[in-house]
Amino acid sequence: MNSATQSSPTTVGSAKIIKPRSTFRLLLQNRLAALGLFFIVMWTVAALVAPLVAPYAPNAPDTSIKLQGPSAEHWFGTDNFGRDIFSRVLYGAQISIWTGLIAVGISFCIGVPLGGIAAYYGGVTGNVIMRVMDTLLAFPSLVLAMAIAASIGPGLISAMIAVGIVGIPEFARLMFGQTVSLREKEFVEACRATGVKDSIILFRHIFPNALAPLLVRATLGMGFAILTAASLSFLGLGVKPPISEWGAMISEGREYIISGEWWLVTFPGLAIATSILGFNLLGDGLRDVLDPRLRSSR
Amino acid sequence: MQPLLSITGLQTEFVTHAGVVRAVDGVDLVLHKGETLGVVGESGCGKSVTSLSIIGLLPKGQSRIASGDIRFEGKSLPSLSDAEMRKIRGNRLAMIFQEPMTSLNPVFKIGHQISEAVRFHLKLGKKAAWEHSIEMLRKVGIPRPEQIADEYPHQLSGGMRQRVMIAMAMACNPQLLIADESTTALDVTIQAQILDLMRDLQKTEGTAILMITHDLGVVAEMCDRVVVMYAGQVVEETDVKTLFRDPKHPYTKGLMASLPQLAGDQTRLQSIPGNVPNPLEMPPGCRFAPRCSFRIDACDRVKPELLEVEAGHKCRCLLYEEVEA
Repeated sequence: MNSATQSSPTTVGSAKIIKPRSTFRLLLQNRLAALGLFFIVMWTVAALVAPLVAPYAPNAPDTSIKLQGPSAEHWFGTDNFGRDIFSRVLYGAQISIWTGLIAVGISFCIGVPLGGIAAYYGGVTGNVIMRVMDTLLAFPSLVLAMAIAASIGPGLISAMIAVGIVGIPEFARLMFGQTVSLREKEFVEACRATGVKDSIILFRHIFPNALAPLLVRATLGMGFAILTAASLSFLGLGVKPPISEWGAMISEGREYIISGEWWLVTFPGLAIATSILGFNLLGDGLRDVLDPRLRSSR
Repeated sequence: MQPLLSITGLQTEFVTHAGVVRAVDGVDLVLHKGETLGVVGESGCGKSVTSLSIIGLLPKGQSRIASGDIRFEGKSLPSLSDAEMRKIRGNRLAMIFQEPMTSLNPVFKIGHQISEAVRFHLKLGKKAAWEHSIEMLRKVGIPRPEQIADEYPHQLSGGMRQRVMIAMAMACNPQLLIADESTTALDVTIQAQILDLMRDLQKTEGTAILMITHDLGVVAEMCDRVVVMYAGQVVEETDVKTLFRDPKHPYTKGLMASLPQLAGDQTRLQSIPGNVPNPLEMPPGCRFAPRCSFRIDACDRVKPELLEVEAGHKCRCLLYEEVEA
C-alpha cells in the first residue's frame, strides 16, 4: 500500500487494475508477495515439467529399495513401496495445482453470480440465496467438505467438487457486499438511464469494478483449496492410491514417523506448506497493491 | 400541436418504515418539442423524483407512481414494460446526472461507454459505434476526440467528464433531455461552457430540455418556461421573463429575494425562514403557509388550487384565488 502511493503520487485515484504491468511491478516491490510469487511459480513449473525432470516413475514400486533415506539417487528418499518421493512430490504438484484451480473455479463461477444476483435484485430471491450461503458458512469447512466428498463418493473429482462447493459462500458474500455498494453508484444509474439491461449492468459494469477484491480472495482461496483437498486425501476421501497427491502421501507415510522414516511425510508436508504460503503471501500482496484504487474510486 | 411530454396529475409515493411518503403530489407539466422547461425548487421538493418518474428509474420496491400519467411522444410511459421502456431510455429520452465525477464507469474507456448505448439503440456495429462516439465527442467540443475515446474517465477533468456525459446522452439523438442539476457540481466558468454547449446542441438537434435545478441563474440563462415546485406540488408556472419580472407566489418571491443583488446596499442575503415540511406531516391547508410572510387565516384550512392568474401564468395561492372570487 505504501509502495503504491509512493511510487505513483500523481495517479492516486486512478484505475490501476487496467494496467497489469504497473500492478505487477508494485507487487514485486513487496518482498513477501514476491516470495509468494516465487513459490507459486516454482510449483507451477514443477507441475509442468514433472514428466521431463522426474528421475523415476512416480508410481513404480521397487520393494528392494523401500524406506531409504534421502541420498544422491533418491533426493527425498523412498517410501514404503520403494517409490521415489522426489518424483512423487513433483507429480503431486500437478494434482494439487489442478485441484486448487478447479475448486476455486467452481467457487468463483457459482459464488460470484449468486452474490451479484442476490445483491442486485434483492427481495425474496436475494434473501433466500444469502441465507443458504450463511447456512453453508456456518459449517466448519473441512467437515462440510468431508460430508460432500463422502456423499459423492471418494475420488479426485469429488474432492475438487467438494472443496469448490465449500468455497462458494465466501465468494458470494464478497460479491454481495461489492454489488450492494456499487449498485448505488451513479455510473450504474447512468447506465440504466441509457437503457442498458439489468443483467448486462451486473456483469459488464458492476463485476469488473468488483474484480480486484475477488481476485485477492481467489488467490487466498487457492491455498485453502489445496489444503482442504490434501486434508480430504489424508482422510481417505480424496485421490485413490497409487496416485501421488501430497495429502495422500502424508496419510500413507504417517505410520513411519514414529519408526524414524521422517522423509515420507516431511517433503510432501513442505510442499503443501510452501505452496499455500505462496498463495497467501501473493493474495496479501495483491490486496495491498489493488486497495488504493478501490478506496479512491468512490 | 401535441406536446412532446405531458404529465398529468403525477403522484409518486415512497414506502418507508414511517409510512407512505408522497414525494410528488399532483404535478402537471407540458413540454413541447425544442423547448426548455426549468423545474426549480429547494432540496426535497420533488424535482428529482419527478424526473426519475419520467425516465422510469424510481427505486424498485420502495416507490411507485400512485396515479397520474406521463405521456411521451403519445405513449404512456408508466404502462410500458421494462423492455419497451429500455428502448426509449437513452434513445428518445436521455438524462444527464448531477455528478460527472462518478457517473462514468471507472474501468471502461470513454469510447466504450458511449458506444454501448449507440450499439444497443442504433444497432450499429462495433467499429461504426466507436466512430459515432468519436463524432459525438467532437460535437460536444472535446479536443483530440480520437485519443480521448481511448482514455479512462479518471484521466479527464470534471468539465470534460460532463461533456462526455452529454455526448453519451445525445449519442442517439434524443427528443427529450433531462438535465438533473447537471451543472451544479461544476465551477461557474465550466458551468457557463456546459450551458452554452447544451443550448447549441438544442439549436442544431431540436432537442427539448427539462432542466432540473435549484439555481435561478441557470433558469434565467437557459429556460423558456419555468415551473416552481414546493413540497411535491407545482406552485407557479409561467414563462421565464414573467417569472423574474412579476413573481406571484410568495415562495417564488422569497426565492427571488434570496438572490444576491449587485445593486443596492444589501449587506446580508435574504432567506426564507423555516424548512420544507415533513412529507408525513403536511400542513392541512397551503403547504407553504407556515413559512409564508403573506399568510392569511384561510391558508391554514383551505388547500389552494393551481389557477391561471394571468394568461399563461399559473399560481397556487389563496391570495390570488380571492382576487378571482
